[in-house]
Amino acid sequence: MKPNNKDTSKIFSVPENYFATFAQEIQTKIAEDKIRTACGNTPPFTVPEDFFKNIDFKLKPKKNYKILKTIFAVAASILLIFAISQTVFIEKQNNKTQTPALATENDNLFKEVENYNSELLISYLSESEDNIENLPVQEDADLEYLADYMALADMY
Amino acid sequence: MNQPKDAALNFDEIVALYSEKLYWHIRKIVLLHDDAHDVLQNTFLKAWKGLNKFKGNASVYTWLYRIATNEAITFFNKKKKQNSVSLTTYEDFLSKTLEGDAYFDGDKMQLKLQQAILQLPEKQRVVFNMRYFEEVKYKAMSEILGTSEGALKASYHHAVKKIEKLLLLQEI
Repeated sequence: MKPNNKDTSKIFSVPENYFATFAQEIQTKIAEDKIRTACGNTPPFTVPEDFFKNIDFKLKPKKNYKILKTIFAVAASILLIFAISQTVFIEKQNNKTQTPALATENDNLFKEVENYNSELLISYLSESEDNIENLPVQEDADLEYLADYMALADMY
Repeated sequence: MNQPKDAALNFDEIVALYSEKLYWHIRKIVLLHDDAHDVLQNTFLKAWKGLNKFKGNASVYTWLYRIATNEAITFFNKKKKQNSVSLTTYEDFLSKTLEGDAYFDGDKMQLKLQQAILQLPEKQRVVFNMRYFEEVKYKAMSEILGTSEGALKASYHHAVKKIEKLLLLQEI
């Protein structure tokens, strides 16, 4: 029988780097075997009785957050618009009630001031400058008023 | 890996089919039962929310596995951050909690192994758990973790060597 001299490396191939990493793999196997002999390779963990039988995940249906977001945005806008309109409305109402009242109050004040000083003014205007000191001024307020009046008269 | 005709499955069936497998994957990362349960719920919640975005390029299992891994790592890191004000690390806290945990069934050596795994960097820990306990093929692992097979092999090698060293140190 003739010996088979065919080069087997041309028929079979090995994964890339097979021989380069072979030594490392053997070392790994030896170390692994040592660990296995000492510790075994069964995970040393247990679970509560019937844990896997009762395992059940109650998954909530997916919420459509897009719809929720839109609803929230619309509600927020409505609230904002309502708040602004309320503020504007209340302000208008206040103006409506306050304006006539204020106008009347101003008129009254004006009349009061006019009445109060008219007598004094007439007497002042009818007197000559020399007699001005003899005017019947009774209060400091009267003096102040006259001083203001004179200052105004000088201005114009 | 079991890959049924995923598209035909409705969500309840997906939960029923994969919850146990995913639970054990998560549990090995977060270690405590209550935490694993929380992460599992979050995983399914995320999956359910993203179900319409799932394009079916990968199998449902690979997709879920990826979500579960990310959720478990995020959860673990969050706990670590919350524990950062404490004098002990979160890993130390977990090591001690495991000793008295009603749902930890391991012996002394298995406890030591878990404590050694806790000392690995996050990625190596995940790779080690998947390969050592679940014997997941590198190809599948690569799809789930989005890392090349070569990098995963190197990761596993480093993880195994570190654990071997840590266990030897503890024996001394």
